[in-house]
Amino acid sequence: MTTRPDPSDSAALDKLTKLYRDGTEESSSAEMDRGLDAILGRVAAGRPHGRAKLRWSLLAAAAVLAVVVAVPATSTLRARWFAPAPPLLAYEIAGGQVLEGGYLRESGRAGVSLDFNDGSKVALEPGTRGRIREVERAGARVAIEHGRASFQITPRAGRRWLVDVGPFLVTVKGTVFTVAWEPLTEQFELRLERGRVTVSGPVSAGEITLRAGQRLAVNLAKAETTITEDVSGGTNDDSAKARAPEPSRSAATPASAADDAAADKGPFASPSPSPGKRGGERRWSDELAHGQWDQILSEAERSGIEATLGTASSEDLLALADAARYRRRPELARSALLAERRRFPSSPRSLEAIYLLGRVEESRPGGFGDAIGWYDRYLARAPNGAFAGEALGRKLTLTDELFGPARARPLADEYLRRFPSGSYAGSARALLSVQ
Amino acid sequence: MVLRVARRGLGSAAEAEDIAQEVFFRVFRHAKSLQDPERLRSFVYSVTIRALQTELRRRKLTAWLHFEEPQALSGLGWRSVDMETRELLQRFHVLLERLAPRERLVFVLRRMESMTVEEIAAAMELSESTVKRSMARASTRLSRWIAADPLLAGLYREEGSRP
Repeated sequence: MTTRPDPSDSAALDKLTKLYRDGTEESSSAEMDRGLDAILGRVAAGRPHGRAKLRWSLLAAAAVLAVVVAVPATSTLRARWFAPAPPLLAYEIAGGQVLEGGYLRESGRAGVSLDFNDGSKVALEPGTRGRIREVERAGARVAIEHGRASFQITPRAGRRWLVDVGPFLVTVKGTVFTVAWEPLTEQFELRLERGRVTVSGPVSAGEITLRAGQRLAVNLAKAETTITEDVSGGTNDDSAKARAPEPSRSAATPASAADDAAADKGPFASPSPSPGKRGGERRWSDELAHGQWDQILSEAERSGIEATLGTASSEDLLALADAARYRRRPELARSALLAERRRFPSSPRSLEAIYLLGRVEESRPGGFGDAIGWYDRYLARAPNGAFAGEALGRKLTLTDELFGPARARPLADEYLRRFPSGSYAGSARALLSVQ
Repeated sequence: MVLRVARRGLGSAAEAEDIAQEVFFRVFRHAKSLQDPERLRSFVYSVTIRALQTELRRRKLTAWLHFEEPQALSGLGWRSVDMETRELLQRFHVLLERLAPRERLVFVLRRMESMTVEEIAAAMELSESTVKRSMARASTRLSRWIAADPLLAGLYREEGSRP
């Protein structure tokens, strides 16, 4: 029986077409320059013996084409008809459970791990939000919506692994790597230990192929992309355990000695010199952007925490709070955010501080109730604010966790009404589908 | 313009760049033969469309020889697309990949580039009735496939049913 299209399918086609059309970005000037250079190079190279060269090129291309077509065709036909198909991919989960829609829920505080029957392993660090999107004979697709996860993928012909990390798509070729995505600061990081992966998404150079030992850091907010040689290697160093990726310097710069030296200090060390104090003023936001969290914390401690909270600028207080959050010092983060609210009540950062207080409370055992309170305050003060979707989404998740789905469903409904394509829409739909 | 059409036609920013280079290389090589400068735009369009047709046919052939599944959407430079939208676009892209090269190209040019039937017919060297038939077939197939996809159909029915 075939499925007949109805009018709503045409409407869906219209909307999807529009989405696809509008999603295509205009070319950047860098892309245009790169393309123009390549064309001019080809034109210049082709000028002297154009016609003869073209003829030989065509003959050579025909010969190569014959081989290229014949060899894979025979080998794939043979493989198709005589080789056994790869076994079904299956997995065991530890440390959590799979919810409707493939969402992974952590049962303890040790993270969730997935062991696949082909030897592949996926480990989500504590607090990481992830989802199994597909598991089939041809491969698997896993999404990391927030946090950090390590992958150890066993290569096998005919099997493909895809990992969605925020807005990025990682195509795996059989490899060991770690990814991290922090939606709040729009920072992505991938550290490739072994093998090869390609990364596509909103990056300036289109698709990026990484080789073993490289580290890719993207700061979407600052439109920065950096690839460095990650000489520290592996995922067992202390710095790899940090929760959020750091922003990095120039756009798609080649790895340099300075980068290597920075990588030696850890994945979140800055490849550029520390700005430190300028003209006697603190500039912690710069240090924060360069991943120098420990430096911010030690400067604050040197000056005295109380004195810092009483004198630091609004910008520095938020930077201090972020550094403290990233270094898992919730008490200090809370104090900095409360100081921000107390000293700069009418600044826009004060609103952001309300939302961040919710995030801080979430990280504290037993702090979910307080976190919901902060998210409520944020939504009341800024119903259409920059973090409204995130605040409502977090409130939805925590309400489900604390009080169960019956209390969470109205929030899910509200979330879908206000943010139908938001990052919690999948969770909200899953919640509404189980009545 | 060339890059945009190629991106929408192929669903891959990297491949679109290759196509754009090929197009401009051909345009440079044949620029001398262009007698009417007014026709440069349509000339570039027709070279682009021919290159896209060749690439889409090559893809189909390669996929057939290798028994491959339709290619994944490998990045169009989506700046502000969240994960849910990305999934929708990925699924829609797979459906576009299933179309025959001519149908797909006609659909992209008509619905995404807003070209007229006459313009498409001229650029693709087809009759207008062939363009119309290809367009109708592409729309029907896509609508049918969307209806069979629970996520695509379900989501939009849900949205459409809301007041």
